[in-house]
Amino acid sequence: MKSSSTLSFELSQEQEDTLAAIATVVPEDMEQFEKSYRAWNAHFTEPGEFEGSYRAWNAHFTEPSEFEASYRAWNAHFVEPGQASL
Amino acid sequence: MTNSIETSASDRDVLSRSAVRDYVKHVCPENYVDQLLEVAREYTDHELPHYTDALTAAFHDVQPVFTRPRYAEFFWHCATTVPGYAARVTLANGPAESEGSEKLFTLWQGVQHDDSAAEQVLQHARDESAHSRLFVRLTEAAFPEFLPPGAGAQLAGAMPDIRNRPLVKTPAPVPHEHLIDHLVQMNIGEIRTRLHMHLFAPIIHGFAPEEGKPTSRRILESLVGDEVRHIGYTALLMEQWSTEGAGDRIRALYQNRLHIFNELTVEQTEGAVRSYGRGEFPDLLEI
Repeated sequence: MKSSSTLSFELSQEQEDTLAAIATVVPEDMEQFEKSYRAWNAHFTEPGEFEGSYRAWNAHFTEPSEFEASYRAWNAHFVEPGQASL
Repeated sequence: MTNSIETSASDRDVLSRSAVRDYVKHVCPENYVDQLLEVAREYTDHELPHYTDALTAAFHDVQPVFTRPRYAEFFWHCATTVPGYAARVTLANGPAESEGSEKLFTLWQGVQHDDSAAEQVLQHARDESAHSRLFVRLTEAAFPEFLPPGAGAQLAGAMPDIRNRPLVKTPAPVPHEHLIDHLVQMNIGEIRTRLHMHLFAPIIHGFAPEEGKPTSRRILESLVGDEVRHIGYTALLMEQWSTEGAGDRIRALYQNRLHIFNELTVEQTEGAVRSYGRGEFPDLLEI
């Protein structure tokens, strides 16, 4: 097997026990998830709107110093802390 | 009785520490960057000397939070102490991938000076649209009671899908310098996503019921294979542009963008650290 396709799926008994110790069946509140998703995605749903937003954002792209501030402003519209990363 | 409970809790702590130590050792080895480069070279069948220099220097200088063992430890901590955390994170990747495909498609529309790069960006955009649905399917397979009936299909249908869009270029082309910048950032983002797949795999597979394990495993292997492909093509383009004279610019960009991406990752992780970290992971918020 190529190393590029290698993922580790194995768990030790104690790791399995640790996972088993937590109640994982917590049905998602889809209404809340969708509300959050809609608010986050509002700028991207319509390709036309997305493009306008992206172009405005991208116009500041050239200079790294300008990029950082504009990226943060643009990104603030859709990053859900704790979700986009972990 | 009290002693028995205390002993039991102590035993559990020891077992828990052992479990997390083994997990971190497997998913986040000390030589992660070296392994990553080996994978990129294997995929591209190229030694990638310029890319290696740029990536190695930047990672050495920035020490991004997502390559630290504590980052993996925190993921294990959340997955094993917060009910529903692993399922929610898995599902949240769906919309994130969908949004990524939108950005990539827009980039493809503007790339008019390099057909080879444009074609690969378009394939990447299609992959991300497919991934957004795969993450929903993965959630359903690994956590079958997490979503109400029909919710997965509804969400998958609501997320933007660029695979059906007409292939029309925009009148405003993306300059070559901007394309380089985009690909540097994409390469960094894909490296973090690949690492996330390594963090996810044993936990999602471990949570999945027996009947959901084969599907979960297949999806995770497919996802990480695509991430490697994305790291590989962006690395190879950077290598080619470096040999054509953009080496210094790419090296400086990689350093700058990794620094910004690390700050962004810390910001994105902060909410979870404050909500679930129990005060044990303040170092993850240090840059």
